[in-house]
Amino acid sequence: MTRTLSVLIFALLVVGSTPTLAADWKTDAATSRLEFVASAQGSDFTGRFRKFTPRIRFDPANPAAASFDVSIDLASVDTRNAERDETLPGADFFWTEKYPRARFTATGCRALPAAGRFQCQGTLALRGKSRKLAFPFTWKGDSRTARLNSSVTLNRLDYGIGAGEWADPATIGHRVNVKIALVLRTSAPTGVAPPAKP
Amino acid sequence: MKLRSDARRWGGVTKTLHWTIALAVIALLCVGTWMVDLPISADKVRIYGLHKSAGITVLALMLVRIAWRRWEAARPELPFGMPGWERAAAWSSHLLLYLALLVMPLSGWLFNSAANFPLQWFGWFTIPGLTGPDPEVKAWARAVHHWTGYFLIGLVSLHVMAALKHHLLDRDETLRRMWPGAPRRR
Repeated sequence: MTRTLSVLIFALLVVGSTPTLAADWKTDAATSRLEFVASAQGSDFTGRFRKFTPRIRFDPANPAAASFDVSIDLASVDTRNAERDETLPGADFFWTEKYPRARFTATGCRALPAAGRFQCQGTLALRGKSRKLAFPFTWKGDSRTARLNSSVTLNRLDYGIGAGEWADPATIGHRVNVKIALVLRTSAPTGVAPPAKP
Repeated sequence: MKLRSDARRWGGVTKTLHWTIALAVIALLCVGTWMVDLPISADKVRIYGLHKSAGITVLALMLVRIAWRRWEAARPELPFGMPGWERAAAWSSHLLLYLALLVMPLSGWLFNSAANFPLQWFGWFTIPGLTGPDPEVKAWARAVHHWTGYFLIGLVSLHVMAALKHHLLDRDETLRRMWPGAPRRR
């Protein structure tokens, strides 16, 4: 009996001491952005996904325990061009009818030599294809608020986006630079409201 | 062939500009009315790219033509004894042709810019937009391009019919003096 109790107390102590370290972060939807820069007929254009839901567990002091899981609503793409935004969800490109969401997961993070820089091993599942890619990012902040910035370049043809007649890079470039800028906040652990931010 | 126009005949520069622009504009009007109903495809994007490139070329040629017209000063006179209403019709339809041939590429360029499409001249270099993405500008620039296009089809038809009328019915020099090549000795 006393042994069971001591194990239980020990377990409670261990569990109770961890949450502030491996924090779950909430994304501020209004200020966070998931953008990409692609090129059409030799000109760069910027697009963004209006709807995406990141689930982030990250502690800069213990990056190995981090995990990222981001779900992206592909139909929420906005490139400030009505015709393009109508075409992108179609079967030749994102094929949202069959694959409405992309999913990015990452684990196995480590700190890079430069302060505030980290790199994880990510996997992007997009249009039925899953590819591994390096996910480097910078992390700035304290125990309550943080900013994550990252830039990852991928090849759209790896995911079958705009294959076939659209494969010509003179019409649409193959490289797509994804830019991630997240404004993050930990959920208040003891019921205290998070500090108001303008 | 003389490069500059004189009181009897159009010069080589004006003739070359006239016929280059004429062929380009007729092709642009045909392709333009056809391409808009195409389903989206990579070929449609390419055809639009060619249409835009040719349209920008017409704009540049029109600016050269206007500058040249001002510079060379002399130009053939209208046929002797032409009635006043015909002179007025010729003068106003030529003015409208010049205006429409400027409005057409400019409204297309503006439409393209406001719609946030790229503009690359025959795949060679990128031409900057006239404005950023703007749905309102896009809507009216598109309407201007559309209606000026139909207006231009009417104007070009009128211009061709008037030229043929001068050549076949009046049997005067109007068409011959713009016709490519050196003048025939008579």
